[in-house]
Amino acid sequence: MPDENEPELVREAQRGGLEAFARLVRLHRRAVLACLAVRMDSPNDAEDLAQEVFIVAHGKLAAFDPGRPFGPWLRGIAHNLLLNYRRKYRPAAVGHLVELQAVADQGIDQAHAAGGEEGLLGAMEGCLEKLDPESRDLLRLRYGESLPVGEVCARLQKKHSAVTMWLHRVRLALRDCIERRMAESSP
Amino acid sequence: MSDPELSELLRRYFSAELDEAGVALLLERCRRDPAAARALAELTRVERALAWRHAGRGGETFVNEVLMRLGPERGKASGFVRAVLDRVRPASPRRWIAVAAAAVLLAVLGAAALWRIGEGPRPLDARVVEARGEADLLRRGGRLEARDGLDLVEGDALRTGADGLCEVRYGEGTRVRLFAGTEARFARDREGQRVELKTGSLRCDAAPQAPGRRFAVATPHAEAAVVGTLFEISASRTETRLHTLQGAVRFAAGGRSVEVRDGALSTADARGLRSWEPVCDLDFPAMRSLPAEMEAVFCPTSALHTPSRRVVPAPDRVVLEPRGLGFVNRPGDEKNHGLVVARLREEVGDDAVVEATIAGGAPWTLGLSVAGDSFEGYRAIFVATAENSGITVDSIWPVEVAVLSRSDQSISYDRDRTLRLEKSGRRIRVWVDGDLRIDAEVSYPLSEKRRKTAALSNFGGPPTVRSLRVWKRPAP
Repeated sequence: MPDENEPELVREAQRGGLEAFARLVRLHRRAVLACLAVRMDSPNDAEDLAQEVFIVAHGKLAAFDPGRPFGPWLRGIAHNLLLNYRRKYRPAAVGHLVELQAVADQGIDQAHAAGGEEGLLGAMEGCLEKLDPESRDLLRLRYGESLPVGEVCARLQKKHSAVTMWLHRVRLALRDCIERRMAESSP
Repeated sequence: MSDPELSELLRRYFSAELDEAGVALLLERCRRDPAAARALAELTRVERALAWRHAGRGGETFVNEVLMRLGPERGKASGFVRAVLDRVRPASPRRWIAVAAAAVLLAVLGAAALWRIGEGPRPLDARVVEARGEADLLRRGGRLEARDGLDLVEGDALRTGADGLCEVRYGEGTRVRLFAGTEARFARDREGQRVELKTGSLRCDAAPQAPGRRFAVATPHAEAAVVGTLFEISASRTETRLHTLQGAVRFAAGGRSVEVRDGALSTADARGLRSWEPVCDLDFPAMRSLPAEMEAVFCPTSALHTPSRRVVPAPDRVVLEPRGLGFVNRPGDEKNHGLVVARLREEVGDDAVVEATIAGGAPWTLGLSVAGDSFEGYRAIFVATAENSGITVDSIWPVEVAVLSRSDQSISYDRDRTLRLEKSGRRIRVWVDGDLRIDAEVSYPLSEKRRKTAALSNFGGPPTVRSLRVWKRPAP
């Protein structure tokens, strides 16, 4: 998120102003998080890595040119940390599943080569509001409480196939809604 | 979605219901149809966004955690105090009040950080049920002493020191036991629970998993996926070793996977996967006599290094005692002293793994042999006495001792030790308690006529052998 005082905040942070740095973190937190969250399976890992982005940025702040935009610089750090994370935590290529995930990651990287992840998360919020209450409850159980599908079935007293089909339809509906909203908001 | 087949594949993929063939089919679709690849990417994005949206921490928590993490590294606590002071801008006589206020604020933030270490946002339904010795919980940059009853959250790691041990139990019954010198991270992915073993060894007793779910242990080299089984897995800098104790484990690395069944062993490293099938797993304290698959033989010192070397049966020179298998030798008595060997009757081939556990408490020496018995094959001689300590790889075929490799790193006899000798092609490796001591290429020629078996041997300083496990290469 650009800010008219950003260069001044950066200069102040470079002089050791932690308050100014905290302000920069607040300004860019969501964009950095969104950039990582759509590229990582674990949201907690995405949050931890996003924190790491700001820790690294703070360490390199002295070398940063305040005349340049801060967001793309953070994004570059995020991409480098993500590469390291993948090298460290992904097992050696195992079967087709890893290849399939690589196809998905490649598609996401292409779609967000120029950013826009934050807009995607914003669009999703709007789309979630449009869902019927039952579907929102389904998502709460599956993602909010992290229940396996089997337990979701037990809670909702529905068959396994019915729940997986329902989840699939909700995902498709969200996808279409998000695409539509992002297209509408693009210049 | 207008393509019913693709839609069904994607539904099953995101429900973790696709088997290997289904995954291959979906991959093939994505490779030849850009629309399919796009649909996969878009739905993956939705899936991750949903997970993040439901798990995300509050904005100020995030900012505070970043500031706290900056704290200890650059005197940042004092930097933060300064930031607070800058805000307060007190008149000089009252500055101490502001300092006190900042200190209180820091204490509150510190307490908040510690509180966050104690409770995480996404529980794993897994709990530490036993922690002994040096055992730490690593959570989001913080460290806590691991203790019984601690609930784990996604991303937690447990680390055990040289004398540490830690056991985790999942709600569905799975138990994961971290042995000494181990670090593992606990996570969950789309298909189920996941443990990422960074280094060391663990034993996993996986309970049967719900349909479409699996329990996985991943290492830097490989991944083991199970649905209900007992296995041990260890990871070092260069290699992962999996030993299935009960059931079957799907072990995958480098694009290839194998099923490792009861008793079998598999290793994965940069050269790929290697499988070993069990030959024997002998627990000597439970036995009253030498098992049928083994025989004891002897050659006196006077003839051992002569062309007239003669090996004779010696059933009374290997004894089974309550603590394990022992050797009867008589150092100093020329007729009765010599090389006592307990060898497998069966041929196991050129390549094999031999592993023995030795009781601690008294000095000992022991030889393990592969590609032949202790007279004809390659030997690893382990010495753990007050005077000497170390390992020598050698052969006494045909007459004299030919030393092939050595390790002077000491072995203490204060506690039980697990010794392992592995020959794979020309490569011979030797471990003590999972610590690689010798890694050597050998080209020393052995007899063409030898019996390619495996053996234990003793020349003095008798050991008490608690167990012996041997694996061989599976038939092609």
